[in-house]
Amino acid sequence: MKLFALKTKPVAVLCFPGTQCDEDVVKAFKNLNYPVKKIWYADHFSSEGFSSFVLPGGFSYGDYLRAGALAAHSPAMQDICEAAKKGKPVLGICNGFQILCETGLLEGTLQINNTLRFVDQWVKLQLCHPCPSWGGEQIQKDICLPIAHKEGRFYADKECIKKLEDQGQIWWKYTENPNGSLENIAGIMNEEKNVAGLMPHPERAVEEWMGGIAGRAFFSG
Amino acid sequence: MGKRVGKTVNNFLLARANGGISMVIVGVKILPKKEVLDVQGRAIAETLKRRKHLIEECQYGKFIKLKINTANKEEALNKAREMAESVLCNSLVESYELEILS
Repeated sequence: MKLFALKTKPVAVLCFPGTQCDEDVVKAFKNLNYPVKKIWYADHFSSEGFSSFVLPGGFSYGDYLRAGALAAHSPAMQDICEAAKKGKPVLGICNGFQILCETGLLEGTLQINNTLRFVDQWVKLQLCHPCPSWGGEQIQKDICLPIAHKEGRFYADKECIKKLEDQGQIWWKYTENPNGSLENIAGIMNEEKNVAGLMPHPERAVEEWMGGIAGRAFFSG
Repeated sequence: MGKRVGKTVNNFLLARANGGISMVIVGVKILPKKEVLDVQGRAIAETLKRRKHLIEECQYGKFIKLKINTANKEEALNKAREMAESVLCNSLVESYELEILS
């Protein structure tokens, strides 16, 4: 019954000015026969009608002030924060991850890469703890996904990193660190594990012609 | 609606009667915390050193100027502090200082 409900309620894909990966995320869900609806950031919406929420990649507000900082204070984000606190699944990809950190739903922050360069490449990732809301146990332990970001160096203070490690909140780690992230962290979850964020783009690896299908499992959980 | 416009006009007239529009300009100076790797500051420092400028360290930050509708400096600082802590500054990696500009 619960699964049935999950299948029928659409997934909300949030769009900000400057979001660019929304269409890819929508297609990834549609290919797996999940209903999807795009939500515009400027309006409040009723989160009750949605099964889960995805914040896609891009450059919301042109990364003004700090990446994700202005988007984090938008009306639709307030509704998503409330839904997240009620236990609804929320996924942030790339800029979405930055937004989740800025809202405080996820700990830490994403700083400019230590190379000062935009990195655009495929990376090997290692699963540390599966996220029950996004892929769960279906996800393979070692996968390759593309990254494309300039502000992806995960930073948190020592105590916070230790807490993330101890509570099993680290989702993915890079096998080779591309940006200077502390502890090679590529993705994390909140304590309840319903909110997750990662810098790599699973929606860019859902068809063979893209170079791999490792990303599919993220959208089929 | 009419009431709100009326209030704005009243405030404006009041301000004019007081000899000008009451406004305090507050500067918010934001710098990365010492323990955080400041890649931009480091890159600037390297370039300056390459140009033979003698510097020990360079920190890269932001400066935000806020015009706040109040005549009271204390109130303006309190409002600016609230803005800095909620939006302008990420306390995890940045620290800020406020100053009255005029």
